[in-house]
Amino acid sequence: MPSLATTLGPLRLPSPFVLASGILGTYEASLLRVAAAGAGAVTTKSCSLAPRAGHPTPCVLPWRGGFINAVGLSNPGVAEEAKVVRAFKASCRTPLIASVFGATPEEFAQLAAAMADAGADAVELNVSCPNVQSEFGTPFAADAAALKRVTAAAKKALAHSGTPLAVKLSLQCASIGEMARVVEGEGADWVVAINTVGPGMVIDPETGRPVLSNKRGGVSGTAILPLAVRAVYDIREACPHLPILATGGASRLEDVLQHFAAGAGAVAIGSAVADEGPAIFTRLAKELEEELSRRGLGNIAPLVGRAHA
Amino acid sequence: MKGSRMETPREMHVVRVLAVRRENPSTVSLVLPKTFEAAPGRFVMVWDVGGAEKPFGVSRQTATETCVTIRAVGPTSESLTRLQPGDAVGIRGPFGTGFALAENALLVAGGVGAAPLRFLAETLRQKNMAHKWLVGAKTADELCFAADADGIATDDGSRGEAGSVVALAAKELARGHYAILQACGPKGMLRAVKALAEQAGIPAELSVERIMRCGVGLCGSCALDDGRCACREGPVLRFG
Repeated sequence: MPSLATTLGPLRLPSPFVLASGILGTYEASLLRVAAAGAGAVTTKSCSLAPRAGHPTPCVLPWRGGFINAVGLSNPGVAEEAKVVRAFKASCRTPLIASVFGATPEEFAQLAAAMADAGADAVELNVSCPNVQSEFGTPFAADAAALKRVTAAAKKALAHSGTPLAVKLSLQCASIGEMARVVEGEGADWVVAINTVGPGMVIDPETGRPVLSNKRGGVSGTAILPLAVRAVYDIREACPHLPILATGGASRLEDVLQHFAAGAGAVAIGSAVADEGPAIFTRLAKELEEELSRRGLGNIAPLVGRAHA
Repeated sequence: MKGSRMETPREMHVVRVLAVRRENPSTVSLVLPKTFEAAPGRFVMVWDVGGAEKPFGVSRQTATETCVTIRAVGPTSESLTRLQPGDAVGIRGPFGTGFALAENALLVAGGVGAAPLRFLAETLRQKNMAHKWLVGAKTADELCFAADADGIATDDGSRGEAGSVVALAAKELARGHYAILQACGPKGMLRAVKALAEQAGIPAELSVERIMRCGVGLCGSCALDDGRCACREGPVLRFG
């Protein structure tokens, strides 16, 4: 029987399929259900220091190629989030990656420390949300100097606990490979690529109005799969030893195999949860196991990075 | 037809209101052109163009029209109840689970919860399936579709039997042979209907209400206690 176990830097995952941040919100019961379906790890919805209401509806819209969303980082704030993390870790062994969102490097550091204290198995810096630019300006992920400061601050805050640090990158920059090099230099244990793409816009043709309340939103789903695969490929080329958690457009095993080949050691599932619910984690694990058996492989390692041969 | 709205029901489609029917002082039904295939119990997201989007029940569908029933309880629903024929409104769906079409069903509705059950009752009637449907509300002013129902109860006795619709359902259960209870209404009413079904030893299908933002099982706003999404694995939940 092949093993689905994989690693992201120092973090061991029982399966390479990870719940992407922002999917199914922040409820412990939802996260436990995804874990029970066999996810290799769950990522929480990004939390900030203070609670945020997020953008009004419409904030998530299906369209032909997937979804566009501008949820606006709604979250109950770090104090409530820490309770959810503690409750999850008290009843489940599945690794939990805590996503955090701050306005400054200091806020990121504070949030990272709080999540490590709560027992998160890793901290993911959301420096790449495209939906709050009117409030926070260009995402840190688009500015190498800012990205360096944020990563360094969080790394320092996690030095005491030794909690692994991940940084979620965006295509909204000149070179994602260059950005990966920056965070690797500051001690990031892995990168997550990519956040939703854009921002984009959906306009109602009848009235000519943008449909999202925020007008602009991040594009996800099948439409961004080739963009995400290319981003993973570029990062692997720039940083051959930096682990990559791919996220972008994967819903089928063939998509996952592309991400592996581009260089990802694990794949996060987001938009595809809408079509299948948490059962998608069970299906992909089963299909990957069959694929490994078919190829006579004991684990996924030989599939990772094949596109660079 | 390639590229028609019927092919992409999950996407937002803005349509023009054909007619508005007043159901009671706070509730209207918007009559819209049919742009998707509905089923009793499944819900739609309705966009107050330029404003917010909320989930509502479908109360009827014909070959050409879809009726969505809206009670004014907040700024968005209030604005939607003020729409006039010709006004634009956005709609996407249907989403979630629906009611089973079962013989010998007893339908129990509270307030605007009558909307999906009216669609269910009409569908059962068209299929000549035995059923009875009861509507209730606090007062006569809050009843919906009472003219179509087989029994009416109001808490204050202003129309139909005085008392709760659940008490009326209990009497009906004692009188006739029923295979399933199907209900939509306030939380307390649903709890009582569930207890009634357990007592009678028959299954219950209850349509639950939660805050919904995406409608498709992504955002998690509507999480039930067990982690399921009310929008995807509900709103109609089966018990027993």
